Amino acid sequence: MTQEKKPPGSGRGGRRSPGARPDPIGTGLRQLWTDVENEPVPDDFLNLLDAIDQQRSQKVAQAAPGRGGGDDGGDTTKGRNA
Amino acid sequence: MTEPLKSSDEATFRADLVAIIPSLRAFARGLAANRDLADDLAQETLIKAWAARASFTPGTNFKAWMFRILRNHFYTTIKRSRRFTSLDPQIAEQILTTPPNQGGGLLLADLSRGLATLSAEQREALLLVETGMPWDEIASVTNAPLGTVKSRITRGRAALRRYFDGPEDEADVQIQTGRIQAGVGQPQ
Repeated sequence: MTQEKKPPGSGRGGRRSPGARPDPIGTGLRQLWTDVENEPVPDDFLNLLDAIDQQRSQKVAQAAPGRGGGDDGGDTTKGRNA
Repeated sequence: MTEPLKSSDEATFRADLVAIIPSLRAFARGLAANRDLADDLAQETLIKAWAARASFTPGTNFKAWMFRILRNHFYTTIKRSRRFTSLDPQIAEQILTTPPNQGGGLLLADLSRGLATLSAEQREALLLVETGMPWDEIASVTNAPLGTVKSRITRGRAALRRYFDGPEDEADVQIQTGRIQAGVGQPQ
């Protein structure tokens, strides 16, 4: 049995090694799971990611070089215009 | 207060977030059964995870961290919202009116219905172990001792077998039906 080195549960296909008793429940559970994983990702999720990306690019714009703002939450002690 | 993420760490985090969406949806579906509720749950999780990104240590187990956020949100929502405390009425109806396919092998639809009769804790333990999550990780994600995890799996499987084998006698039918109508799954 050269495949017995991996502990159960760490393989991609679940826990069973070849030759083990058939386990329709285990197979079915894995199938239910992978069926959902294989569904196309709904638009709502992609919209969320877009919102995240927008937030990130706004941050980049605020921290643009030459403005001296930095990303430390607003420094009012520079005194350049004193 | 934790420092904000470096730009490179944030880019990595965002990429990890995209990659985990399919598994997240699968885990949410396992917990919540109803597809729309599950997707709401998964999206809430993404939002929470992004908001908490500075608290995630790069290089540690991202999947476990995400799954923990998701299930915490699920159980918090259960406690607050009535619609989670009882079985989805559509599913309950199906369970009552559609006996499992006897003798014809296991149908996925039957397994779905059978899973819905389990407690959420049993359901999540079964799904996580069958999809390859190591024991200690399951214990960490579900915030339960290893013994409790194993017990949930054992009892969950036994309950599923009872569901598929059918009731032993009339009294058994009444107990199962009563439990379903009362909106409770099997005890932990």
